[in-house]
Order: sequence, then structure tokens, then C-alpha cells
Amino acid sequence: MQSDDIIWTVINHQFCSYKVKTSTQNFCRNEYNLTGFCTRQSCPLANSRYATVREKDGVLYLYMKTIERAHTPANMWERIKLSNNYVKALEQIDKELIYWPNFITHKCKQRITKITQYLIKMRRLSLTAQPKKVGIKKKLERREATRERKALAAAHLEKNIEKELLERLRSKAYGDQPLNVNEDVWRQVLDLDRKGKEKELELDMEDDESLLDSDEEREEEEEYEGGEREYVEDTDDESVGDLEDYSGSEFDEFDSEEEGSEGQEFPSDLDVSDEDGDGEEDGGEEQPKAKKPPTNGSGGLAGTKRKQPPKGSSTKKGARRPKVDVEYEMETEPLSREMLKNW
Amino acid sequence: MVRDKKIKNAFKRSDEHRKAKREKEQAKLARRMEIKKAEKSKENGAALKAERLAKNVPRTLDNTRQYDATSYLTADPATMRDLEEKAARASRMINGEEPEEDDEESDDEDEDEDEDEEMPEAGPSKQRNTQADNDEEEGDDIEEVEEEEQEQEQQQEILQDQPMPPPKILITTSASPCKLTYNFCDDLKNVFPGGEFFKRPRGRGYEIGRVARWAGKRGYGALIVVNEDHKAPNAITLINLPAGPTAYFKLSSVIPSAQIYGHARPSPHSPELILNNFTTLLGHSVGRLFGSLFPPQPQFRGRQVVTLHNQRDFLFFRRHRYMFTSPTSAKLQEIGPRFTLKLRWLRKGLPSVTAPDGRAPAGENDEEDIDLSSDEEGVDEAELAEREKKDEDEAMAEMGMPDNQKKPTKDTGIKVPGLAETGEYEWKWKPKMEVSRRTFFL
Repeated sequence: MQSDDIIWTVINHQFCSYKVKTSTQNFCRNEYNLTGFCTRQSCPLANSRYATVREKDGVLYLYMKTIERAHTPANMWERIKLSNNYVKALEQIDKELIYWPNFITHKCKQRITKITQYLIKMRRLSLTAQPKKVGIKKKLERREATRERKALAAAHLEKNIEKELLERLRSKAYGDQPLNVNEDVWRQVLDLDRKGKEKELELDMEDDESLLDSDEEREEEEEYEGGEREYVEDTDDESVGDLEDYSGSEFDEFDSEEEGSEGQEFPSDLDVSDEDGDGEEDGGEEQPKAKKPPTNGSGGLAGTKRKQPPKGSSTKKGARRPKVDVEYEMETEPLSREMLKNW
Repeated sequence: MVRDKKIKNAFKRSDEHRKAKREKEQAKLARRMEIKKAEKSKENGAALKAERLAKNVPRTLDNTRQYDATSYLTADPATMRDLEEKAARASRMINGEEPEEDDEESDDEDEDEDEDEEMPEAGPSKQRNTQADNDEEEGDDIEEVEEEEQEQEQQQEILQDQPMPPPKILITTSASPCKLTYNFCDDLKNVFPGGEFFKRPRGRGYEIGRVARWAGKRGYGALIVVNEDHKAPNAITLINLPAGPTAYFKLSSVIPSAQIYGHARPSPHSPELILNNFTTLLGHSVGRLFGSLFPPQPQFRGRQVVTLHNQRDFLFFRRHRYMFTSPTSAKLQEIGPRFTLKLRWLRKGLPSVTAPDGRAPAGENDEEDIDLSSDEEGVDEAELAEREKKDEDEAMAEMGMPDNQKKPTKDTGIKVPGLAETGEYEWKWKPKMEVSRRTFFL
């Protein structure tokens, strides 16, 4: 026979598979549970007369269980479809569950209310455009991040931008009187252009050997600092000279960002100044030598044009660079103690 | 022959191995020193070095790139050109004209220059549409003439220096963004001379499709929607208005200008544009899209340059202030935000506005009935506008308000496609495309 008390004592004290224990609350996972808690009043197993409201596909149903059908589990729950109208649904509950304990009717009505509320919310939400959710694929993310890093390294951005800008300058894309170039630099560009055209004419008329000769002559000219045209590398001093047009703050930041041959020259100077002892004179000689290899590295004719005359550089940069200590060799030996005694 | 026997004594064996290795290394070093000495010599040094460098070109992903031949958008431009020429020649033969061989050679040169990592200077899509709409199968003559026209136009622009108003750009975010996204949008607003930022409310009526059509009618040139995820911007939807293509990029490595050490301050001059390394048709269209965001005539006085460099499908955005220190060198100081984009998909038309359950948007329920009864296959934009207006009037009537016969907004004559119209995907990235390491699409 059905004895709810016995069932409850067993379920509560021993084991119930629907029971979920937490530190503060006990929950019931049974689908027919009215409140969701594991309590004596709301346990569907321990109450032979029970009712719930459940929702399926947006339609509300009232489920009822009575003692008369307790022995036929297949037909135990009676399902009644509730009206879509909220008020009518409440009235239906009142009608069906008349004479039932207040707890059950009250909880059923609360459930109806809650369910209709969330159904309304769902319908309203479906009208707005929801952001599409896409899963994070860790492998893909990692792969793309690595590829991006490698692509950035392969891109040589600053170099390419510089190259592009210089090409535009040389190809006269900025017009005849460009606003973005310094006058001196623009004059140099025009001179280069003119020289290039002259060279082309020469090429047509002369042999290849003479070309090489003219190149060598040009190299020698540069070393002697002769002539009006100097092909000078971008140095600090040059930029300082152009400062009249531009604000000073810009250039402090330029220095911090510069790369290329200038950076290479600094360490060689610093090393030389720090050297003690024998190699001072050698150090003085090494300095111009050390400068040449980094500039030669830029290769070919372009490199030679950019090569800086070493004497000129040392005088220009003397103000800023660390000074080179040169030891003078004395004609007489320094006096030792014994020599002093025997003086 | 007797195979070289392994020395059974481990110590002896390792000694021998070490010696052999050292000898090998010494030999290699000696060889390299000789080469270095030879190259240092004055006579042939430079030539020898050049020869060596030309012979030993390292194999990189960019060198050994394989074009994706599945679509004409991402195909190798060289093969495309060949196909074009063949088609042109065939059509000429069919039409009975004489084949013009001189033009073909000169065309090759022109197209080489064009392809050479350089795009023409910035120009809005409006200006370029007429020139860019040429069919790929037309004769080469037309392309040549148009290139000349472009050059002439550019020169004229440079000389006349007529300031055209910069295209207005609407910048917005996804709903409820965070501080990082706001800062990024502020930076973006500074990048584009015509940039304007608006906060985007959540809810109906503010879907991207609606915002895009509204902006189109108001005369904006483009719409940029910065998407946010996990409290950081992660994607950009770039929509060209009024009826232009939509592009969706994944956004990564966002570095605002404040975090760049030694950054420059931007000025309101319109920047120059550098679009590097766009080779395929898809790449060109993306580059043009980007170019249309900037005013056609840059103000060189400002000495600002915006670069979008494509490397292995990653678009690196940089903004610099430059200065020419000599005819052979320029110095760059970085302004502004630094970020990378990766194209995910490119679509024609504007994004449609449909509820997620697939129903048509409100106010357009009658359209299906009208479509069934219409005889035309295509739908005119004018008709659509009329239908929209009719629907709106009906909706207003239902609500009990009087019909507005005259719309409060003035008719600017800009045709904007209907709400439910979507374009098809021109190109879409799928993870399964990433099989080969050497395939790039842009």
C-alpha cells in the first residue's frame, strides 16, 4: 500500500537519486517537482496527490497525480492543456485543483506566472538581432597569432614605407614644388635626376670601362670632400640643421627611433673611448676603419654614394660623441727608480 | 665494398667524430674567409658579391607563394593576364580585326608597373568606379587608355590642388562596448579626416543593416563597425555606402598611440596613402575599399602617410609622419594606432535586416505578395523604395496615426537597397583553406 511517510523517511534519510545536496540547500532534480527544492511537501515521490505545471514548446500543461492511479505508473500523471491566456489559465488551475491543498495550487499559479514571463522574454528577444556566437578555436587562434608574428617580421614595414616614399619623391609624384620636402633635399633630388640623365647620355656614347673609371673618380672626390655635391649620410647634425622648420620635440623622438647605419656607428666609438692602455693610437685608426664596413655593407654603388668622409665626420660629431683619448709617445723613456738614483 | 665499420670503442669513436666535425667546420670557415677576401678586393668585389647574392636567394614563403586557383579573385595575376590576352586575341580574330602586337608588349609593361606593390593614390570609390568597372575580358587597349586618363587626372589634381570634401565615415561599435573599444574608436576617428563616431544603442532599429541604410541616405561614404569581444575590439566590419561591398576583418594587435614610445601627434591634414603588396583581384578590391575611405587629394603639407601593407594575408596598418633628410633617406615617426587586419569575408551589397528566426523585418510583409505578381525578374531600386514607403504608410495607418504623404527627410536622390536584400559572398575564408602554408589570397 502507498505510505507516503515511509517513502519520505527512506528518501530523505537514506538515498534519493534526484536529490542534490549543497551546503545551504537541498534541491530535487525530478522533472515533476513543483518548487525544485527537496522538501516533504514538494517531493513528487513522497506525495501521492500531487500537481505540477510544465511547459513544452511554449504550451503550458497541468500534470496531476492521484492515489487511485498510484499502482499504474504508466497512467499516473494526468495532463491537461492550459489556455494561452494567462488569466484563463489561472482560472483553469482554480477549477481543476479545487479542494486541493493551498500549497500546491499556490505554487502551480506561481509557476504559471514565471513560465509565461520567460516565454514573453524569449519571444521579444528573438525579434532583436542577437550577436552570433562563434566558438573560440584555440589551435586556430594560436596558429594565426604565430603567422601574424612571422608576417610582421617578413614585412620590413618601415623599410618598405621609406622605400615607397623615396620612390614617390624621385618619380616627381609630388609635383614640381613639393610641400613636404626641404629645399636643400629637393635640390639634391633634382641634381641626382640631372646626373642620372647625363649618365644615360654618357652610357650611349662611351664604353663600360669608362663608366667604372668615372665611378672611381667620384669615390675619390668624396674622400677629398671636394666639389659642391656631397653625398652625406643622414646624421644627427644634418637633422639639427633642418630644425629651423620643424619643432625640436619631434627630433628628440626621431633620435629614439632611428635605425640603420647610424646605430652601427655609435658602439664602435664608445668602444674606442673606453679602451685603456696600448691601443689608443690604433684605436684612433680603427675608428675610420670601423665606420667603413657598416656603410659598405649596404652594397654596390648606392653604398659608396652614402659613404661618409671619416675626417669630416669626426669633426662634426666631436661635440656629441665621446672623445677619443690619444696617447702621445714620448721620445725619452719615463724615469725609473734606479735611473733616478744614478742621475 | 666493405662498409665502413663502426669503431667499437666509444671514446675513440667520439674523438674521431669530434675531429671530423671540426675539420669540416674549419674547411667551411676557410672557404667563407676566401669568399670574403675576394669580395673585399676593390676590383671585382662588388660584382662578385652581387653575383653571390643573386644566386643564393633564400626561399621564403613569399617567394614560393602558390596562388589559389579555385576562384578568379584569388588567382595568380600573371595567369589572369595571359588568359585575358588570349581571349582578346581570340575575339579579335573572330571579329576579323588585325592582331595588334605592339600594344600587347606595352600593355605588359604597364601592367607590370601596376602590379609592382604600388597602388595609385587614394581615391574614393565613386571616382574610381567608372574606371574600375571595366570587364576583365575587354581588349587591352581600353585598359591602357584608362591608365593614361588616370595619370592625367592625377596630374591635374596635383596641379590644381582642388580640395574635395573628405568622405564622411561613420564609426560605431557593437552594443555596450568597453573602454578599450571606445579608445580605439577615438583613434580611428582621428585617422580618417571625415570620421565621426556614434554610440550604438542595443535593440531593434539599430541593426547594422538599418544603420548602414540610414547612413547611406545621409550621404556617408563608409560605415565602420568595431566589434567587441571579451572587453577588447576584435573585428571590424567595413561597409562601403551607399550600396557598396561589405568586408569583415579580424582585428588583432591593437596598439593605441599612447602606448607607442615616442609617438608623434597627428595633425588634421589628410594623409597620403600607401597600399603595399596587393596582388590578386581580391587584394586589389580590398585595397581600393580602403583607399576610398580617404580624401582623394592628400595634403602633402601635413607629411602624414597611412600604410596598409599586405603580408601573407595580414594587413598591417601604420600611420607615420615622415621627413626626407636626403634624396636617399627618409625618417619616419609613428603616429596613431597600430593594428593588423585579416580579411574573413567580402560580400556584395549591404547587410540585410532579418530577425534571427528568418522572418522578414517589420513593415515588409507585403513584399512577398508583390513579388509574386510582378512580371519583372529584377527588382528596381525605385520600386523597392516605393514599396517601403507604402509599407510604412500602412504601418502608420494601423497604428492609428495619419499618413505622412511627404516624408520629413529630404530626398537626396541616393538609392539605397531594401532592408531584406543581401549580397552574396564574394569571398569567404574557411579554416579548411589553410591547408597549405604557401597559399595566400590577397
